[in-house]
This record gives sequence, structure tokens and C-alpha cells, in this order.
Amino acid sequence: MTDRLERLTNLVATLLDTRRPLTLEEIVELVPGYPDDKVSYRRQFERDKDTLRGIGIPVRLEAIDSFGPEQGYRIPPDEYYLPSLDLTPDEQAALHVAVTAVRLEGGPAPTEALLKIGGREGEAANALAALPTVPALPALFDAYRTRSTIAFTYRGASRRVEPWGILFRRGHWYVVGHDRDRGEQRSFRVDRIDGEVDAGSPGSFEPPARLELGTLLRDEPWRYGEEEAVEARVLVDSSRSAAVVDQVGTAAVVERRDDGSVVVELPVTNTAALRSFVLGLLDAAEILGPPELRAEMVDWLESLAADAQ
Amino acid sequence: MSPRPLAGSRLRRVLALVPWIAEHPGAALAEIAARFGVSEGELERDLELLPLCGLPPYTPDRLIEVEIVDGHVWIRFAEYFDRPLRLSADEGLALLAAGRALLAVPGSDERGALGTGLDKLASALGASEGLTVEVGEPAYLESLRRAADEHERVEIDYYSYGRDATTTREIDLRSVFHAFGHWYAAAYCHRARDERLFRVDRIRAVHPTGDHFDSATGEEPIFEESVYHPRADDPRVTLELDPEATWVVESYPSEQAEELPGGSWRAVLAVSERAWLERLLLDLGPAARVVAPAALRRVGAAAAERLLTRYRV
Repeated sequence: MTDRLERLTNLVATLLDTRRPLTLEEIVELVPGYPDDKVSYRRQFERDKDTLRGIGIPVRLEAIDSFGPEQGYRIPPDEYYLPSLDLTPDEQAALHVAVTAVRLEGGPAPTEALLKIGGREGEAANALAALPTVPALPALFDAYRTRSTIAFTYRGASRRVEPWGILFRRGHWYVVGHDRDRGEQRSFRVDRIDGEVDAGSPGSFEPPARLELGTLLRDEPWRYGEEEAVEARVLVDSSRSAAVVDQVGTAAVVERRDDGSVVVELPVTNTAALRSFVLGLLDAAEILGPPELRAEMVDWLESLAADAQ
Repeated sequence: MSPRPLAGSRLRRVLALVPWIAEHPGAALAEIAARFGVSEGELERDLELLPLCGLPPYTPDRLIEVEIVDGHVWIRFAEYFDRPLRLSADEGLALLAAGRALLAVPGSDERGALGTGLDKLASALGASEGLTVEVGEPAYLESLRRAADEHERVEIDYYSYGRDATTTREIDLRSVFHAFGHWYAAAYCHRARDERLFRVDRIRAVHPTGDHFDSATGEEPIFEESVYHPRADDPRVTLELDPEATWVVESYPSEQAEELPGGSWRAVLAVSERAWLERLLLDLGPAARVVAPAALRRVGAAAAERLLTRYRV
């Protein structure tokens, strides 16, 4: 009785080494451990094939030659082998620290992936950060690296996007890219994609060179809207200024006052979202301009103040 | 019957360790076991199997050769396994995301071994520029991490979002960690006389005290979001919510909620802090009304009047 691991190891070696695809009959003849009966060996091979594909081994079914209809199996070496990384021991150790310091919640353990690229060098680290993962993420990452256009449903509308990359910011993953239907650069929150992501054929676009995803992403709620853009100026008192600058970025600061307060300028296409943001700061913030935006805030507050009287 | 997962995970390990051993002739069993996260016993069982494997027709010259002498291992004649199996999309993503996250932590050396290692990995994956992880750089992160490492007690000014107020307190830091998109400091708070979780971006000043505290070593942070759990003695408020404001019922723990004719809702919420209720009512505007208790009926209006003074100067 052959050990199953032995049979699987031989199967991988044989399918990797073969020059042409092997038929099922050839495989069970060559690789020891398959039963004689046709129904049994077929079932056994199906299970083995599923196990190999389950751990990511590319078992392909292809035509044996260009003359007949007969098909066979092989593992294309160029799809199987990891490209040489030539990591130094220091780099290997640094990656070991990284995968133990940073946890991916709900995703594959990065420590498993580390085994493929040479295992654990040096010491593990204490946990420092946890990143959430979203089921659609690997598919989006794969579409980006193979330059495949993706199609998905977002807020009820279908989108076709060239994914330029994925980015994690403030607890959420985003895919940034060129929206083919709208003819514009857009970002989408990955956890708000409805259902499956369909990837088209590889090599269907080229992302811009020297891309900085961080500068492309618009994740502030007041930029999620289709209103005509206005530049809102907001004064934030010293009690909340550091946190607000941390959130909107130093580039948005147009004035720093001696009392520690700041004036930030924000591009707004969703005025309701800006109002929520400023009201969330309670007494520590006010809209300075433009006058229409300031007047809208006064109206809102006045209607509230009058309502309950 | 589905394939047994055990055979798959053993095969995965074999396909990873054979190339490494072939490339490091004479490596010690103990080192290989530690490197690949298995016991020496399991490793030996894997290695005993390999000399039975190879290519058809499985004559001695076609089988893998494994030699173990004094706890050291040599593997020969396994050229088809001289490189590991490529990384799957989720494995590549996991490695790169973990590495990029650590590299983004303030104080990391971008040109160090992690940076160069990640560049090699990313270019092998065809993902040089398309994966960015931002973890933020709150002002006092580095001084807090240093105080945690050195077990130094610090005094902080902390802005409590719920109460909309800043307080000063001495804390003994247990750990500083990033989760749910924010940095947190887990610490024993001498003011509360209890363990507390602080959002690092709401810390407005850090002063060293020069005192040190004893701490259990190797404490792992607990990645838990500080979710508000209503206490029995927190005040309750009954709100009437127009249809566009019913998200409130789904977003906050409401103790009673009933739909009214016309699509409005009536919900009872626990209120730990007045500032929290002010924010909610200011944001909802005319879409929400406080029904009870009478003492809270004018909370939104009073807050609106107070904010209006800023606009009437």
C-alpha cells in the first residue's frame, strides 16, 4: 500500500517533468499507487488532482497534440516555479519579523507563505498591527498584477475598471483605477463591492508609471458625491486641530494661528457629508467659507434650534 | 469524499523544504525543523518518504537521494524540485501587505533589509507599485512606543471623544498597536485605577515622569475594538426617527425599536455621554426628535444654539 503523500509527490514530479500532456491512463500506469479498476483509479486521480489544485499547483488539461481530440494533464514549469528571489539572510529575517508583527485578520496566515520563500530566519516579533482582509482582495490583487480589467457591482451600478492597485487606509481596503465607463480615475471601497469580481484577460492595460496610490485615493466622505466641487474653509480649534490635520493631511492646512487653531481647505462634492464632519467636532469647528456653505450651516442649525421650541 | 487536508498540507511542506535543503547541503535537522515550523519527528517522517519518490520508471538512478549523517541532511537528484512552488495570489498579498504595513510604521528604515526584501518580492510578483498600506502617523506614537518598551510611566493629556473633554492622567503602557485603522495604547490608568484603551490620535501631550513600573513581559496586545456596552444606570432616550434616519437603529444598540405607521421608527437608546447625543441630533437635524425623557428634549436645540454663537459674531 503506497502512502498517499508518496503518490502525490510522484504525481507532481511526473507532471512537471513531462514534455507533453499525459492521459489519465498513462498517469495511472506511470505513477505507482493507483488501483487497477477504471472507476476506482479515475476517482482516485480526481481526488489527487483536487488536492494539488487546492494547494495552488497549476494542473492543466490540454490537447496532447494538434492532430487529435485527445487531452492530457501536465504542470507547466513556467507556471509552477517561484521566480528566484535571491533574498539575503537579513531580508529573510526582516520578512519573518514582518509576518509575525502584522496579522491579517481573516486571511491566509502570512507565516505559511513565508515557508515557500525559505522559511523562518531569525526571531519572531511581538504582534504590532492587525489588518482586516476582505474576500475580494486576492482577486483584485491578482487582476492588478496580471493587468486584467475587472467588472463588479458597486452601490447598485456595474463598473468596469482597470485596477492600478490596492491601498489600505484608516481601516479599509480600496481599489484605485481607471473607470472605463466614466472615463475617469476612481477609487472603490473593497468591502462595498457587491458579490463577485470578474477579471478579464491579462495584459489589457498598463497603469501610469511612477504611481503613488496614496495621492490618488479620495476617501473623505465629503469627496464622495456628484455635486459641483467647492473649496470649503474650516476653522478647527486647538483642542481638535492635531487630530483633524492627521485625518485630512498637512497639505490641506492653509493657516496655522498662534492659539493653536488651524484653517483647512477641503474640496467638497458632498456638502451633507462636510456638515456631518464639522458638526462632529461640536464647539471646536466652524465653516468659514465660502459664504453659501456657511449660510447653509447657519440655516441647518437655526432650523434645529427653532424646531424644539 | 473530499480530499484529506492533511496530505495537502504535508505535500505543501515537502515542496517547500526540499528546494531549501537541496540549496543548503548538510543543514542540521534541528535548524530545518525550526525554519519550517515542524517537529524533528515530523521532519524525519517526511524525509524518510522521499527516497521512494522520483520519476518513472523509479529505478535507483531516478529516485530522490536523501542522506542523513549525524543530524545533517543532504538531498540529491531532485532537480524538478529545485525551486519552490510559486506564491498564490493570497499568499503573495499576505506577505507584501504585512511587510508594507511594518515598513509604514513611523521609525522604520525604508532602505533597510525589509525594504529591499519587499522590493525583490514585489517585482517577482509583478506588483512593484500597486500595493500600498498606510497606518497613519499620530504625533505621539514614537514616544509612546518608547515608553512602553522602557516601562516608563507617562502623563498624558487625553481627549475623550464621547465626553468632548480633555483630561490629564498617568498611565503605565502595556502595548501600543494598530488595529481597525487606528493606533491604540493599552495601559493601566492611574486615574481610572483600571486597564484602559486609548486612541493614540486623541492623545494631545505626553510627559515623561521619570518613574518606571513593573510589567509582565511578553504580553501580547489584544486586538479588540473598544465597543460601547451600555450600563444599566446609563440614561435612556426615546427617539422618533424619520425614514431617512432609521440607520440609527441598525448602527447603535437600541433596546426597543418599533416601526410606526408611515415608515418612521421609535427607538430607545442608552446614552453614556451628553456629547454623543448632541452629535447624533445635530447630524440628524429635522429627521429626529427626542420623545422622552423631558429633560433631554431640548438637547439638540440647545447644542444648535450654542454652535450658532460661533456664526453670529
